[in-house]
Amino acid sequence: MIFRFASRAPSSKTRPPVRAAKHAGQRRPASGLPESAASAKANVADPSREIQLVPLCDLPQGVHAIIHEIQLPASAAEQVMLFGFMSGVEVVSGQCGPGGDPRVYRLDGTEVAIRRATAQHILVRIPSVQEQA
Amino acid sequence: MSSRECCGPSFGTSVLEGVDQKSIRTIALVGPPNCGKTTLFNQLTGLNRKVANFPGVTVEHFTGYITLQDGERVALIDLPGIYSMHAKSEDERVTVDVLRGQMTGIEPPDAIVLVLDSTNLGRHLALAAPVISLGLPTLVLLNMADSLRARDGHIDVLSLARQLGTPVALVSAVSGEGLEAVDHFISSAMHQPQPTELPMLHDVRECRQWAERINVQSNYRKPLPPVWTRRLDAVYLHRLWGPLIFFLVVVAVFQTIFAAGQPLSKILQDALDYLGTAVSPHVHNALIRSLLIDGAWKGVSSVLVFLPQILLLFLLIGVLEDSGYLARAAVIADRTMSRFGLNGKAFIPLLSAYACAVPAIMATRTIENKRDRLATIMVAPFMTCSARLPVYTMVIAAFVPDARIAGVFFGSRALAMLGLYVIGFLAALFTARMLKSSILKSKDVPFLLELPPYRWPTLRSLGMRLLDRTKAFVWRAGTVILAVSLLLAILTNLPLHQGQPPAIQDSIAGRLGHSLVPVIAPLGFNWKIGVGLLTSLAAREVIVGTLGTLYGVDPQQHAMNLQQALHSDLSLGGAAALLIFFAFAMQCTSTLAVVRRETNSWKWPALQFTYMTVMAYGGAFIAKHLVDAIFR
Repeated sequence: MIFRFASRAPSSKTRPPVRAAKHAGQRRPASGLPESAASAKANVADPSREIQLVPLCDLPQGVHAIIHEIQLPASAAEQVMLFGFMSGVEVVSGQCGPGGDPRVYRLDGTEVAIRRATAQHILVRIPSVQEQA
Repeated sequence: MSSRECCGPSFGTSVLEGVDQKSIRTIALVGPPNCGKTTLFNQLTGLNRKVANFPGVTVEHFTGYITLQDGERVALIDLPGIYSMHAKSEDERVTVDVLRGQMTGIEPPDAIVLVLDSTNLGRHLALAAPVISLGLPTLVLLNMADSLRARDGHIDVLSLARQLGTPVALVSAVSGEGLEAVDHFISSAMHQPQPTELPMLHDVRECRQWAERINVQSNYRKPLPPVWTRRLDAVYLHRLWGPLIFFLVVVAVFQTIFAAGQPLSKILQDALDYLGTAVSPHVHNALIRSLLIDGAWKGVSSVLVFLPQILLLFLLIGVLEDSGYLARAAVIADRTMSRFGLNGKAFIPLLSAYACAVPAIMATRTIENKRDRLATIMVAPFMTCSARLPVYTMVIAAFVPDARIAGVFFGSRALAMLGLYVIGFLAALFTARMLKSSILKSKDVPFLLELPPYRWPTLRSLGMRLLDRTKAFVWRAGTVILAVSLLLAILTNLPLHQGQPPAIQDSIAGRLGHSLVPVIAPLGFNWKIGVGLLTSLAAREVIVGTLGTLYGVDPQQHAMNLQQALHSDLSLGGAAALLIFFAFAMQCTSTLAVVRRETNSWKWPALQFTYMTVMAYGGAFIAKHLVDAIFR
């Protein structure tokens, strides 16, 4: 497992490009659920595909993922890291407040609620079938 | 956050007097938020500091004393929780300053007791690195040992102690299990920790990896996930059921306060009235009888009868806080809060403002961003504090007929009360929006809230809360309210005309009230309410005592109870105006004082007082004319 830590400020104010994300150009659905759920499942089913990075906020409920990169300014990054959000850590998306924000994530045996505005700067990858096995 | 800052003195700290602080050793209690430091502190010292099942309850240092088995007395300092030694918020700064010996008035600690949650060592152990590297003798307590066992977790304590180079003990602060380790540690020859290795402290990632290595070497087996917490969260944080249950919980709280509080209050009132009439014949001087029984006693007892309602409110808040449900409520309410520009961390302080604004303003210390913190401080007094409860209950009971709405479950009076709480909350949101889009603009900071597992509230903790609250309430009734009532009773009997007291409206109190009439008449208030508004500047519920005294002294209203007398004094519109006035006005000198202290300037409390008073007057004016127009 690669431990690549990236805590750098985003170069521009726009959301950083998501590598190989199938729906990178599309508008994110408000709840973030149906579309990404479909793409997540497709990805798991087809391990030959290039790894797909999803913003944490788009991770469907109940799906496991591994944190890949944190794209927040240094002080904010340190704050989320203190709560366990670090690259290489496994995270499961849990329950959420009304309207899907904030959402509870399970990691390291604890549950932490964070707002969408923060979770969208944490990129995760959904492990392939082999990895999960 | 004891009763001390809120109402009256602290009752648990009298043991501190007479202790020479310099001659005894100090031990600091350190650990991540919500790992049970204050529970441990209470167990060891026998004191009664506020505990609850969510992070950020303790926001200031507090010293208690324990006597060891060999007779030595040591000072134990309870500190706010920290995630690292890099303080971001005011409460964390308190802890870091105390640990580094930079806090004025506090001796640098001689040793540290580091409390960690044993069910969450993966994360919590990372804090051990910076704490151990301070070089002070350290005892590591792995708290919640009972939960660890129950959920099939395991840790090799001896091995962990070897790695850290410190003594380690598995304890349960709630049950008291293993706490003799603290005594052993302090009485033993304490020495500096000798860890086998330490990580680079400024690197969060390295600290975590270090903690992980040590956990592996100590055979740490993570406990199984808390099954019941997951099950309950599936309901309480459900998209549909979650908000619905939240609403029902709030409604149930108010309904209970009215349905169960009213009969209890009646019993208490009868008892207090009986006491008054029983004593009355033994006071032979008519003037003194009038002062003491009709004046002071009526005033004090008219406030005391609200004790059941206050206790019910605190009992229910206590159950919600101790169970861990409040952290879920924070998740449900967060979206609304963020829309109005409030920081996510503002929820818990604002919620505790339902008890009292003073500890709530202290609790804003957990908010890192200064402007966000100021905004929260500015809106906190709009939340309906428990001092408003007697005023609301008195006016509602007098003017709102008791009818059932939506079946047997919900009464009209509880609905009126709920409405007032909602109005206060909306005023807070509105003000926050105004402030955040003008003078207190700030960037969004990440909001992270750890959700603790649900726990059963302990009877001890709930009992302590109620005891604390009763003492504070009775103390206030016996001091401020008694003094104001007695003074008022005297002022209604002066100046004497040929040895006889004057008609009440010609007395000093009467003239004082009458001088206010030009200002308050547009709100539908007469001179008696005016005197009440004046005395309520000391504290809100004083108005109830004041009216009790005035009605007790006034021969025309002497025979009526408080509600009937109020009815003869206020129109329906005036009653609505009075409620709105109390919902918005800043009549609390303790709150102003704490805002001054926490913001370190007079500017903010002055702005707050002006703004809230203008809003109260305007709101009351509109309410009076609106209600009068509708119900004419």
